[in-house]
Amino acid sequence: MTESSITVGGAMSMSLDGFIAGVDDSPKAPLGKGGERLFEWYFNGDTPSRHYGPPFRLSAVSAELFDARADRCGAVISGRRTYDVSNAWGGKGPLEGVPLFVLTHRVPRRVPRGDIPYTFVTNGIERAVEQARAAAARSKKIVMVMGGKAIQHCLRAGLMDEIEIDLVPVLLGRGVPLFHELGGVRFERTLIVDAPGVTHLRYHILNKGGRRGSPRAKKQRKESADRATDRLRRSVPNGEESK
Amino acid sequence: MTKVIFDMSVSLDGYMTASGVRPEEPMGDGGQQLHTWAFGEADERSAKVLAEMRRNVGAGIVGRRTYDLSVPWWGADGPSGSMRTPLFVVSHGKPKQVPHGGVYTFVHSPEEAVERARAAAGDQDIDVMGAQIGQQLIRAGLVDEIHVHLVPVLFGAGARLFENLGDDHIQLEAPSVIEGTTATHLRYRVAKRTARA
Repeated sequence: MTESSITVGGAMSMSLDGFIAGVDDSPKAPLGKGGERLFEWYFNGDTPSRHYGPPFRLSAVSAELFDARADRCGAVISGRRTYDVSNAWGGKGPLEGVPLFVLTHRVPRRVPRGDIPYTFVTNGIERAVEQARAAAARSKKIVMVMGGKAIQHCLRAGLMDEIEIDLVPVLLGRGVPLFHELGGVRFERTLIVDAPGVTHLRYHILNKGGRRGSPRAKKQRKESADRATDRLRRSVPNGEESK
Repeated sequence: MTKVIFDMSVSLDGYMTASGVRPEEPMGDGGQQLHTWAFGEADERSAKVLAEMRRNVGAGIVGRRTYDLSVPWWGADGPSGSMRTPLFVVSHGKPKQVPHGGVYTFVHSPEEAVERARAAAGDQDIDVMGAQIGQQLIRAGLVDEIHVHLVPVLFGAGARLFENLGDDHIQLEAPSVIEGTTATHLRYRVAKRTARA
């Protein structure tokens, strides 16, 4: 399996009106006002998750999908905010045994010790995807992108192959949108699972990058990323400190 | 029992029209993609959704803006064509020119529209067309069901379907899900708001 054939996907809980968090979201209140409504399906049943353990108690249907999603995952890309908000997952990574790539402008000073390799990618989403794909290729699995901003970056750069939306039956009215000013992208629905309190949808992206993914723009982005690669350290091994 | 239904096609990023809405392009540039599931290449399940809606609708409610943009296409018969379903247009005044023998009644408020449409619909349903009027009716607690035809495309800009809904979350009940080939048809019942103590 070649690395370029490794699927890059993302998954988010979203309200019917398109929000992934409520208003006034902050590092201390990452879900914003009332945003926890979007994650009630994590706890609305009595089936535990094989991968995540307590406190997850999902409906049987959602649990199966949720765990299958984790089964497919060979590498995770996370935004820096998601990383910080999750307290770096205590060094254990968002998913047991799966390497983590964190998109960031600055490598954190301290990284908790753990068995999961953490890689901090400071030179753009293209390089993060490249490295995560290489890691996922080893297990012949897919790359999962976590966090709204990281997913947006990926979509915009034309690097996303599929997206899973856990559509929650609520209108939040205001909040943090999943999709932001990105037009011209078309999808094909490849999975739909009607579960209690949530409709799980998976879409394959038909024209990656949409209107903004012109070959010229891509070339320019690649050139600027290549320049950055020369200047910046790619990563720090997990458990080390760096300045 | 008559239900007030807000029934709209929407892009995955929440737009009911693309940008560039004008009389020649009432859905905006490329916005027609939202309706391909219903016109021309409707698959069997989608066609059924459409037919069921048409059969059950006894009256429509529309905002003035949607009316103005659409009336050149609708003519005297209105959006239902030969079925000539009565349409109530919420408007501050009556337009100078209205198609002769048209199905249109001009009313002053969303509440009046619902009242008049109820009387006209008999035991059939009321179809709310247009984002702004739909939003007003949702906010007023007058919408019973929201039917969304979710079309897998991102517009990035345009008119948002759900906007100006106020600060309270609006809870919906679990939807009935019908898988069209392109559009996903989701029918939600609006949960009745609990009275505040």
